[in-house]
Amino acid sequence: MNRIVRITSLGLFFTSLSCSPSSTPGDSPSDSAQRVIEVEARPDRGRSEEHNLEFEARWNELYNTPHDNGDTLVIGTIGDADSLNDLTSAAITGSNVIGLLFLSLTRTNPDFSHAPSLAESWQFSEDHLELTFHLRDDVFWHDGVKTTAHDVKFTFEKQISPNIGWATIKWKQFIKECVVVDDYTVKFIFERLYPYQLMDAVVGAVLPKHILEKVPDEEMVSTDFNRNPVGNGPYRFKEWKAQQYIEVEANENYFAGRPPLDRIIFKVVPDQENLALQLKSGEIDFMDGVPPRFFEELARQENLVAYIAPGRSYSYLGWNLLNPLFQSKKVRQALTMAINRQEIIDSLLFEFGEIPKGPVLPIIWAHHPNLPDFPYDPEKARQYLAEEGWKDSDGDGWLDKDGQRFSFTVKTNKGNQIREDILILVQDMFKEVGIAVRPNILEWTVFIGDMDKKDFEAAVAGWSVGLKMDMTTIWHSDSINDKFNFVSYSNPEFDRLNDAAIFEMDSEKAKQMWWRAQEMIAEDQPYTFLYSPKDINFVHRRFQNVQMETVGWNYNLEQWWVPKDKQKY
Amino acid sequence: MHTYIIRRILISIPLLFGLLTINFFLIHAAPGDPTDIFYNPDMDPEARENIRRIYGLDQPLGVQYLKYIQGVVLKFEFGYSIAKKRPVKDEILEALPNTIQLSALALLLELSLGIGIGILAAVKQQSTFDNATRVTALTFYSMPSFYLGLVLLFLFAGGVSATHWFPASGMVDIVRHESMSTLGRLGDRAIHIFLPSLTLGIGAAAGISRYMRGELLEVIRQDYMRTARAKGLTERVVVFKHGLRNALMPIITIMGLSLPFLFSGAVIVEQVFGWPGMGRVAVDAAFQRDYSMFLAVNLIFGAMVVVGNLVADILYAMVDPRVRLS
Amino acid sequence: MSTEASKNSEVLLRVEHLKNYFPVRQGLLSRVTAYVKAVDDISFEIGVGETLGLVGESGCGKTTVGHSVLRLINPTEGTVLFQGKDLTHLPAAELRAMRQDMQIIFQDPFSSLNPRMTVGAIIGEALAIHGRGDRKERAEMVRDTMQKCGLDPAYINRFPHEFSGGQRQRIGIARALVLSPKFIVCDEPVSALDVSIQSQIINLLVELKERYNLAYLFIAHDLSVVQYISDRVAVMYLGKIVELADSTELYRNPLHPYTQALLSAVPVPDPTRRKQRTLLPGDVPSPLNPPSGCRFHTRCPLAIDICKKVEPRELDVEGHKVWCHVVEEQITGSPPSS
Ligand SMILES: Nc1ncnc2c1ncn2[C@@H]1O[C@H](COP(=O)(O)OP(=O)(O)OP(=O)(O)O)[C@@H](O)[C@H]1O
Ligand code: SF4
Ligand SMILES: [Mg+2]
Repeated sequence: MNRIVRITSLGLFFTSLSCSPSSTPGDSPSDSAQRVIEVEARPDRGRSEEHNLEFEARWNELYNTPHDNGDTLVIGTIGDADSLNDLTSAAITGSNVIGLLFLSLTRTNPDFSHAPSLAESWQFSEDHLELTFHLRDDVFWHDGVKTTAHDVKFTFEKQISPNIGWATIKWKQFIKECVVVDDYTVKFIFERLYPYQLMDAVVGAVLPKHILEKVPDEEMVSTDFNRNPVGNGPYRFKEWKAQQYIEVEANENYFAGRPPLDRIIFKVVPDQENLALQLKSGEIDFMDGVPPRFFEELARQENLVAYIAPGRSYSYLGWNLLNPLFQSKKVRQALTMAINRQEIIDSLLFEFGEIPKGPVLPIIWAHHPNLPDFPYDPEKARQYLAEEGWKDSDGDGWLDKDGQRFSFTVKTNKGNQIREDILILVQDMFKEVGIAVRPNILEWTVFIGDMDKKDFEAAVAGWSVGLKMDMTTIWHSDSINDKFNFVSYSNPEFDRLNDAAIFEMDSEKAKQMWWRAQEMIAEDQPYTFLYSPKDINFVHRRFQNVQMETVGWNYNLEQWWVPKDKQKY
Repeated sequence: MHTYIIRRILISIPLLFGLLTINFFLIHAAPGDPTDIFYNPDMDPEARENIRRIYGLDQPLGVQYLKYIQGVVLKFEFGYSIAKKRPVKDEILEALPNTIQLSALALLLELSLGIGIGILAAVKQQSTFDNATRVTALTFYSMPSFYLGLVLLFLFAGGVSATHWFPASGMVDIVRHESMSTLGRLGDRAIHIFLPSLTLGIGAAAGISRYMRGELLEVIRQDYMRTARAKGLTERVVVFKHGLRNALMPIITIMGLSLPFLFSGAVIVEQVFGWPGMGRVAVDAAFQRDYSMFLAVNLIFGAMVVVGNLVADILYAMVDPRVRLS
Repeated sequence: MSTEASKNSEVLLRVEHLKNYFPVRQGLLSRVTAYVKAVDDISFEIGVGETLGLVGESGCGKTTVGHSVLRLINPTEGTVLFQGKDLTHLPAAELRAMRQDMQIIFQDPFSSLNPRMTVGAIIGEALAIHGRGDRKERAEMVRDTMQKCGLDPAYINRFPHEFSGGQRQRIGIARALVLSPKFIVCDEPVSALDVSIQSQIINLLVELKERYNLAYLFIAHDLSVVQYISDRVAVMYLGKIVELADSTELYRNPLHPYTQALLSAVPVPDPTRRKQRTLLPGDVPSPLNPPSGCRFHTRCPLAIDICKKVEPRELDVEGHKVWCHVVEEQITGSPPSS
């Protein structure tokens, strides 16, 4: 009996991947339901300044479905948080906890548009340079003090203070001022007009002025608040034991009502193997970013449900364009064609990934669906290389030109097994076309130091994509020296397009510009875009109302609940 | 004796100071810096510069060194951890007791298992037990602890469901611990610390058991053992009072010297079992170039060596009347 | 004259057919592959208050005899009758009680004293074990014994390493003496000491023996020391006794070629006495694989054919016992029989 269920559910998994049925809200898997769910990719409306009434209604519906309170969710995470103060937190675990403890002005919808949260509504001025937020008047800090417009203004001032070092200070660069209109009305004044004004204004958790105003800016990095935060979100801080766990508990006074789960615990676990072990044994209830190699084993567990979300990152093989070897576009295209990317995905990602054709992934509104591609074709690769003068003139099996052999080193960082394995696969693939590759695996800080100094020939690395459509920091020629244009891609036409597109208010026009920009990159192949991995999540099946979205597995974490008869803790 | 201890401690101060200085320049010379953990395209170089300035990383190395040393010497301040956003002292004070707990239990296991098995093997020399423990000891002694840890994890912490007897990580059942009875909590702690301390202690126990066997056999051959027997003492008194006490003396030295190794072994074991101790702090600090944390951790490891040696010497002097500390 | 314990005293210790074979283990599984025949069928007696000297080259089994006699090691075969009781089969508890009457002084005054015990504890421990007196009385006994052995009782709380070799041997003697035993095995008690001190210790032993009517098994590897203290002397070679006689008789009239060789190595106090110097060729053979027949034949200057094949039997000439084919032939006039 057990066996049959298992086989059926595995079978379901494979069909679900190909037919891609989507989950619908409120329809969490019951006993008979499928155990592998593919998260639907929503059209990205991150630029939208409108409420998305459909999602808001869905959210409220979720909150108002009859449910039981109680039980505890244990989330497994590899690294400990560094701070639970949004101003000083840099680690991902911290931001996940902060998301439960603190409210921002808005909440992100599954399509990246904005939903009311601390702000009930907002509107732009006629000239679109002033953005006014109307705050709820029933939001309290966990110590009982009311959250007001003063907190919003205070937070903004701290965010832009050079003596605090807020990581995303750049997002506020075009905001001139934040003005308190009255206790529940606050206004942001912009220096200029651009598409992401709303997103920039709301980014960051709003912080309690009455507590943090006593902390001098220079002491923010070490203030006690970092470890004993007082928030205003659905959960309140309970305990943080370094390298062990962070525990939050339901906020009875949350404006939207008490969240169902009594407690959510972020448990620090040493590595992914251990996480998988604990997921299997029930020591933890949830894990995101499950390495594909564990999928099959975990999918076999009766009490786990898998959620497969579209990729939000990609890995690439970047070519140092300052190196004479890689200055020819044709050579780079040939190099891409020499790599069997599907094989990489099949063997290292167990098929949980896709080949990205360019740097803008499908989840982003500006994604270009029909970019030029250079699929695996070693024959053609050899031909291209020959046209560029790379031939095996001495018959030793390696290509050469002007007496020089085509050989280079590929660097990557330690600790990412897939990347390390890629170097080995790629070495073989290049050998096939007569190119000699030496892998060089470096410690993370050493690796990025080398990238910064352009001290590399080729490198395997990755980017996770941000919420905003902006290609400046990675591709603009201005970013070659002190930012992230490691490969020194320099294309004046691209620069012009990018600079214009960033500020283009007309979505359709902007889209055309971004498409053109992506075509240039795809054509130039400064990177070989290797793969975009799918995000695999596993959650214990007792949790109801689980809705994972492209915006994050924790989209509606505060609404998860467990029926009384299935509660474990 | 007291003056001896005080003098030894005083002598070790310049030693530790030198260690601190060398480490300071070593870690600063290593590629990268603490702000690398903020490395992402969403972060402006400006924000990174802000952070460097806040932590004083923009100042000349010599100035940074002087400031750091000043803090350590004058105020016993070890600075702020950039990666943990808190005073280094706080993080260490939280982690150190956990490592001490783990190491202490590992030491206990190491000694009880090592000495116990060593005695049995020596008393029953050439028996099946002796031969079996010889092979087993060699196996455990030569097995890297992370490997042993992973094997134990797989076998007894969920990999095999039939023998899933222990949790896979942590110090307590984080969900239920609070609501347990005192006895329950004790048991909870015990099942959590068992695998890590076993992993940490068993290799050393294997070593000790061989030492112990060798020492005891050596001692058993001594004339004073015959003297004791000739006095008409029972065999048990002969072996335990006369034999063991003498055979234990070298073990005490080994134990004192193994203290730092126990600590560095904990670094690995803590990684495998997610034990929230100094080992994890040390590894994080090294990889994140968390300078202040790294220096403080190394200072503690250095102090461990000094203390271990001192403890060994003092214990030795206490048990061996031939040794005078001066 | 008799080889038996002096007629006027009763027999204290009788050793019969004592054998001590040590197994030799080899290989991974430690299998027994051979035996070291350290002591191979010897018999002797010691009377109350009598001293029997036991001499022989290093490795011939003297210590093994001494230890077997006290059952500090278990003999392989044979009986050891002490005061009429067979020690070899005595239950452990009875044996321990018996130890009050039989003690040992070791060759090495350094290794035979537990370095972690005070002199007082070393000497007094046995008193406590055997329930002699209370704490105070015991301390008094220890002091008293120390005094008798020429040690300052003020040193009672010192540790062995604080003493010189001679003093340490005195501690060893005091330790043996404190229980007032009837019999003490003295296993080369002076060979580890400076020559200047040796006589002091010997004199002490002689003095004690007379004072307390002690019986000694006095082991040594050279005859001169033994001569002075012993009533009778047994000469050992490779696990066997080759000659046993009254002390004066043995020195005056050594019969066995080995004894003669040993005596020739003794510095002679009287230069007018002429003696043929016998030099022994070759090394002592291994007791692992002792020579057949007479064990001495590989080095014996008098060896004849039969010596290689047949073990000599005991020849008793008025209490002077000897084991040698040639001597037997000389004395009895009949050729050695097989
Ligand atoms: N426990 C043992 N196991 C194996 N062989 C032994 C053991 N004890 C003694 N022997 C061997 O038995 C033989 C006799 O040793 P023993 O110590 O009795 O000689 P000894 O005459 O006392 O020599 P020394 O003058 O050097 O003290 C030696 O060859 C020695 O190696
Ligand atoms: S029996 Fe023969 S070998 Fe042995 S001692 Fe006598 S003469 Fe020499
Ligand atoms: Mg000896």
